Amino acid sequence: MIRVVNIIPRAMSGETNQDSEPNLAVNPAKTRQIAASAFTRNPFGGANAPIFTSNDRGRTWTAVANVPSQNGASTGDITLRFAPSGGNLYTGILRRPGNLRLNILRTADFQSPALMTVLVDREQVDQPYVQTATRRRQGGAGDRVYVGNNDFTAPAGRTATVDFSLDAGTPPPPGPPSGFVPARIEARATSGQDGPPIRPAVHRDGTVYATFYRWTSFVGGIATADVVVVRDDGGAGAPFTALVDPIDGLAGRLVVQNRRVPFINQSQPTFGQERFVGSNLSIAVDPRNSSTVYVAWADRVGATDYTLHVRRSRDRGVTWSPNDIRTIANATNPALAITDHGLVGFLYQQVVGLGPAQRWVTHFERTGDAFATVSDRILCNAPANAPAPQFIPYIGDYVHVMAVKDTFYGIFSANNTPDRGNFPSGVTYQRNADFDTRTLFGLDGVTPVAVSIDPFFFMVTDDDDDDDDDDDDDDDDD
Amino acid sequence: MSTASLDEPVSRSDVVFNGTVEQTGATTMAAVGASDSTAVVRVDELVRAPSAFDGLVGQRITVLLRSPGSVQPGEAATFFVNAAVFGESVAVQEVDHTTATAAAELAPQVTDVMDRLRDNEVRDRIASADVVVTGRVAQVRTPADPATLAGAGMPGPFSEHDPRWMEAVLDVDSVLKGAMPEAPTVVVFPASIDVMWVDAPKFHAGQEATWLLHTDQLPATQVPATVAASFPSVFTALDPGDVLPKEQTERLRGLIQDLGG
Repeated sequence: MIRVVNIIPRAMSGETNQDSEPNLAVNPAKTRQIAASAFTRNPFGGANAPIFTSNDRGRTWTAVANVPSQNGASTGDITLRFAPSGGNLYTGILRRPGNLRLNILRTADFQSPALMTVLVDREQVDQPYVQTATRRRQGGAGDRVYVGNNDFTAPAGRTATVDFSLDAGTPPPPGPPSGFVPARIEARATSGQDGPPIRPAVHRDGTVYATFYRWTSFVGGIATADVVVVRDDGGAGAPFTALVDPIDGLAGRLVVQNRRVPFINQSQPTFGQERFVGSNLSIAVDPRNSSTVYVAWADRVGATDYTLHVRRSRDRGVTWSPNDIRTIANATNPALAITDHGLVGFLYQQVVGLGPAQRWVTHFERTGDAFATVSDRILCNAPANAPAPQFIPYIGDYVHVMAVKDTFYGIFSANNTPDRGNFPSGVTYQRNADFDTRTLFGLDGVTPVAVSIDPFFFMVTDDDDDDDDDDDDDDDDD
Repeated sequence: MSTASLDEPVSRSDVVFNGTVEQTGATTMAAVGASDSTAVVRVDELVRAPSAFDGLVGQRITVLLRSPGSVQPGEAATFFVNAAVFGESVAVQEVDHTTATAAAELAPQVTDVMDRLRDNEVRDRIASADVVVTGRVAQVRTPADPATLAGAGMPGPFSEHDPRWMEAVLDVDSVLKGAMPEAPTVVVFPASIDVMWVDAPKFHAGQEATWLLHTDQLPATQVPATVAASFPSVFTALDPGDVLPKEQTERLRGLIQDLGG
């Protein structure tokens, strides 16, 4: 069963904003509760930016203005994740106004318009990416929250950082940093900094992985980078130092080295109007066994391409598949997740065609044998030449997919033309749209509305019946 | 209703509408729970709202009341509200409500208040500006390449939110506030259309305007080293309100005089 839903609510039918760079959080304890984010502005032009919420497993959506921002603006980068139990939603944003101003936020009621509580507030930080777990297995009661980020205040240009709290759900002392501590996870010299994406992955047994691009040089719009994986086993000692590279003996396994990562921070006419900013990393750990971990990254193999690669480790990151187990040319936004049954999901967006015929094709692949065989479903195949960019990123520097039990949940952004031909796996819209005339309409149902970029939720499960049979399973992490 | 009494609710709200209360203790959306702080209100007229919401007229929406029980079924009122929840319907957070005043009468008053609030914002921006000048952009140029770019390191921070600083060299016609800047007058601006910078003003050669120039909008770490080394003051105008049409020069002059400038 595949469900694809345009999550712009009917009451926002008149909007034409570029709602790109989406993210998604499913409450593992109540999977009917889902939160999503994108570069979405307050619909009335006010200061609080919205998140999207669903209380029926993604069938219908609302937008709730509960994220601090500034008048008329979306937040900067935003990601979100539910705690595995208890219902807290954690959000990492770049807050406006501000100078790369990291805020880590928390709300106990994700559907409330009350502003989220600020847990962390500091500047010179990029691309916060949130993951969560509970301490229940370790005997505690709090939420473990890990926020990967590129912290330019880190000493010696070793900017890859994970801010973490082992008890973020407990009301902290008033005011930031609320018990969060930045762990510097780069052990080596860099060219001055690491790349923008620092992505954590958390296993319920207490293992935490993180991956990042270690930049070793930057010349002519090309970063030379190593893909590094670090691991934290939850014990005593310095965090994220459990995995040591056999070559230099330093913390962090070098999965691949000296990769060429284009960093051209302008809309690219030959790449579906998207930019290249080396922000495409993903990591997923097998819920059945924390020794098995997958990494996906993007780099340039030839002269003009942007190529995705996937590799796997089955020994806690010590050794990695020597070659790609999956390679996708001319694509971006890799995102990995693994179900409780060991099925791996791989979401990505690929540019096909040339010139005005370019299209963004959003794939979701599933494999049970490390990509020896793949079940590929196209979620969206939409024009890449329209609409014109309002800003960059055009569709986003990242997307997200996650798994709860045996079901994948994900999100991507794309051209929102209501054309069934663009959605081979089907789609439903909340906003007013006529699929016969391929026209969007405003709130009055009559006034045509221009095409824009919208976020699309999807859910993929092998079950034909998607009833919320796991609702009220509030003890999922035990 | 006097415009003075409108100042507070208008300044704190994004939407103003006239509506009739149909039900109390009820909502129009499953996502919003009914309580004694909710009311279902039919939108009769929009006084101030984004055009994307023109279609709200005639629809029933949910008002999250500032005070429980503060409206009664059948009551017609003017509501001052902010965004709360958007789904199959809309829920708005009430800032205030007053006895209904017809939109034809109220809209000009709200416009007056908005104009006054905008003037206040401009006064605040003038007060915080180091220099206010009128003039023309003579040239837009890239800063001299930081030597580090091609060398051992990079100027940091360097992220996808890199502003891509450019320099606009101004030919200054007149100075409305402050001292005539030392020539050349260079305004650093972000050319990037990254989401973090897209709203910041961009400049082009030949552009005529009045600039509210600041020297404190950027932390020192954000100022390109070559720019800081080359000019006595690194001016910026990063807020859309920092760049005004040249036609408003006389209005600005009046506001500056109000400030004692």
